[in-house]
Amino acid sequence: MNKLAIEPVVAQLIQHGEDSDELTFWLDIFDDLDPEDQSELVQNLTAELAALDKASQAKPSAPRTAPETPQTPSSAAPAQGQ
Amino acid sequence: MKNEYESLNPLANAENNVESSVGNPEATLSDRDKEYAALVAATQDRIAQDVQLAVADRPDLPTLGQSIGVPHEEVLQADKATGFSDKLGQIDGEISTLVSSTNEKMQPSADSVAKSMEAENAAPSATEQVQNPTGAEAKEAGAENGGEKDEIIGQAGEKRAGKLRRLLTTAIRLTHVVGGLEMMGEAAVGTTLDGQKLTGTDRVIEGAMGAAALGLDLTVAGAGASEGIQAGEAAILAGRSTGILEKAGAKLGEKGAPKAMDIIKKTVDFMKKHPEATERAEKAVDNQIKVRIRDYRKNGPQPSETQPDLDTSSTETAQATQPPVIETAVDISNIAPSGAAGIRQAEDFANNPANSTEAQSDKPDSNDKTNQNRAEINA
Repeated sequence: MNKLAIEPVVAQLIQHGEDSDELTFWLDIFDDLDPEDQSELVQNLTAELAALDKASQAKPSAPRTAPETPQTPSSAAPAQGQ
Repeated sequence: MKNEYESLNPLANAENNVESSVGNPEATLSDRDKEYAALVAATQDRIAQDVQLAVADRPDLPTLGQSIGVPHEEVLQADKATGFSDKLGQIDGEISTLVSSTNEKMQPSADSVAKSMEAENAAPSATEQVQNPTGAEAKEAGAENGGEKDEIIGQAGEKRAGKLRRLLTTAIRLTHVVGGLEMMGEAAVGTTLDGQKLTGTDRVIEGAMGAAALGLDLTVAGAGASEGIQAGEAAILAGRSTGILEKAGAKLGEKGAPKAMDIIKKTVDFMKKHPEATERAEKAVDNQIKVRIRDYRKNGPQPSETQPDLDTSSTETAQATQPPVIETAVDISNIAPSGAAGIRQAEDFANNPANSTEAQSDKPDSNDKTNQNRAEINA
């Protein structure tokens, strides 16, 4: 498994607020890991990135249920009367 | 030894920093987290210092007797007649309980402060709402998923730290026979930094600290621990973790495990790059070990300690395709046998350094001798 393949993933994770030093450390030791451990690390990082992407995209586009500006008594009165 | 003012000063500084940060609208959440973490660390240091001042610096009775020229036997008789040691033992226990209780009580406050800081940073100010409604909405949206993202990052980081811990402890087990004190130290990691908001860097160092504790060399750490227990100034792991790992890395190189050696070397480099986090983790582990040793000295071996010990030889570990991984880092009850063995080894070393290698094997006869010595002193 090639370390270069996960460098973009690491870069995106850092943009999401991940600890740059920690992820750089993992990149440093990547080639020293057994293939099984490498695979596990890649899975961990890609799953984290997917979850963070989902968290970033889901919430801001969610429809707002509450009115953005509070109603004044004068504007609320006609609504009650109708 | 630090005087009272000096020991108070770091804590007061940390408190002032947090107060300033909370009152400063320009401070970021990250700044506040760091300052709050520093306050928690300073408070823990202060508790540890108080315990040392109150308990561990006290000379033992034989030493006291020698210093004032009273024969050892008379000291023991007087101690037995007055119940002095028993009372001190009770006080030791009460202080240990107080330390644990204080740490537990601090935790809800820590959580509460962290939440209020997050809420404060997340909530848009009135000015922002009027002048920049779009920005405020964006900030609100960010806050909504900020906690979720923190959780995702934390969980993924924990898994990686667990992986590193397993890699390193497996490597350490290849280098030497792991004794009881080392097992206790390794298990103390993970209980010490729980509850604090850890960064990825902290997690890497915590994983490394578990391996370093497991690499404690009895002939050094055992003596240090035993003497330190008497003097209350033991630095069991503090200042040693990187050296221990470097030594273990060199041994792995000799054993023909260059990749494991390389991982350890890079981990040590990482720890050296973050000396403050490393020092904080070392101190936390030392404090935990001391509390556990005092608990042991107070309560003696528990029923579970009659079970076979958990020590494994390097040969056994090397032969295993998947060496046993210590998964009991958080649960002290699971390492009680090795914890007791570690204290016995440390005491054996102090009583008879010439036989310290025997102590590593935790032979029953050396335990009996130590128990006799302990019984004599505490009679």
